[in-house]
Amino acid sequence: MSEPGTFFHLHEEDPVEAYENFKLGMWIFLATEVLLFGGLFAAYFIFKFIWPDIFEAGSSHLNRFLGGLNTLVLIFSSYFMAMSVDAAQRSQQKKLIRNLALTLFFASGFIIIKGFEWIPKLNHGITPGSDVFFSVYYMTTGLHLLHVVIGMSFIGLLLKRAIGGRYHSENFGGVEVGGLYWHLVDVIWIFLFPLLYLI
Amino acid sequence: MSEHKMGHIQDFSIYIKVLLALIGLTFATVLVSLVDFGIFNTLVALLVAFIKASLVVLYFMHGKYEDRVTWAFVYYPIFLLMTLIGALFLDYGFRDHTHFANIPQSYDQKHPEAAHGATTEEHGDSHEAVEVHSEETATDDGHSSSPAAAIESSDHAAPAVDEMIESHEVESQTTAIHGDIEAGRAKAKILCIACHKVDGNGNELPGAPPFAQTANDASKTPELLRNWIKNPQEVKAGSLMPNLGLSDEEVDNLIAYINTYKK
Ligand code: HEC
Repeated sequence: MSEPGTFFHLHEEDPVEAYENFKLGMWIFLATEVLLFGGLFAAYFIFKFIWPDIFEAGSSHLNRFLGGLNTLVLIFSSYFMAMSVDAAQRSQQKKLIRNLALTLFFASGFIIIKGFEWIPKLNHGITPGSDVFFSVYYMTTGLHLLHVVIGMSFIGLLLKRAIGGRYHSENFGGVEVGGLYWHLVDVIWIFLFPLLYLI
Repeated sequence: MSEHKMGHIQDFSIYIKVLLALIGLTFATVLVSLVDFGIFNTLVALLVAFIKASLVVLYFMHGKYEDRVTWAFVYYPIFLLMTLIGALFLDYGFRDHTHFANIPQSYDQKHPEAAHGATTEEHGDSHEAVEVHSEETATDDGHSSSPAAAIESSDHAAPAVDEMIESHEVESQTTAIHGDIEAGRAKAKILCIACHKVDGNGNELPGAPPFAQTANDASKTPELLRNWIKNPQEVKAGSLMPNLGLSDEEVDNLIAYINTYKK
């Protein structure tokens, strides 16, 4: 049965059903997130169609190496998140904590690398107002970065609770739902990277 | 629903396999982008991204074990997005863009000296960057077709002269047009295009007179236009045109640009 202090405890619901609903709620939220970024993708394609040369010039200012590195960093982070859920499902307390910590570690790596991209650009006077490509660039990566920060605070909370011994094979909904959000952040970057850096 | 177990424990090795596949696909997509396949670059990049995303959804997010209701919420945003972006490709793909072609400038056009890849360098030389920047502004002004702008930029260099000239200029300030046409055009393309057509592009808000009409209306003196653009509500309370918070110099540039419509 559910532990005191979990979301499930508030409801007089069957824990399995509560778990399913908890997850479904997150999936529905993620659907709206896809549409949020989808609008920006549409803007990207419209501007790129109208001003292809500005996009080509702008894209050539981006550092593919850092972008690619960040893609890998986020994939690793996503992997350790998946492993965290797996550890929670198997009641492997120590592994859960270690994997969550690694997830956070790679997530901070992403932010630091992003800083190495943004700060020199801003110092060189490349700002969101520089041209239409950089408006799209800063808007999409900025909104994504905001998601990374929110995701990291979720994972931090999960880590704190995991250390408190909250999650085990009968109660891992929190880890799984936090994981769903984190994987979506990865999925969005998977699309942003080629669109902004490669083509 | 309550009979089935909570979640689904996936075989351990799947995670590693998916991780390796994602890394491999990342390298693949970078490599493919180095070869120029024209429009296929976009398609391949999107296809690879789609495969990677599917792997994450299926195996990392355990989407594979989710029920139909959950999948409905996976498909519906994808369906909406594909419709939006598909329609957009059909629309813009077959449009004639030539009349759009020169609205905004790219960062490179605005900063011709900024070499490609400069941003990726170490930023230890921020000193240099500042110098380059001031040089650019100098040459930018040099490009301008209005001699007044050139005088202005040299005024900046010598503030004392600036003050001396200022008293002389008060008269001409209000009647003469001495802004930088190109700077004005660039501003207009950003700020005014939502309501006034700029170089034939943009919207024409009902009630907002075309620049051509204003420029050829002798009653619209530069002074009047200056006051108007600075604060429309002060000239005509309740006007629909917003106060855009522009500086004197920007207003002058805009007026110089509007004046190009004069026949
Ligand atoms: C939100 C829409 C909007 C924007 C943005 C806007 N205008 Fe206007 N503008 C109007 C409207 C509406 C009028 C007519 C106002 C009235 O008569 O009350 C007008 C009138 C004018 C007039 C007076 C024309 C005449 O012949 O009387 C000038 C000049 C002008 N705008 C210039 C500009 C410039 C320059 C910009 C950009 C810096 C700009 N406007 C941005 C809506 C706008």
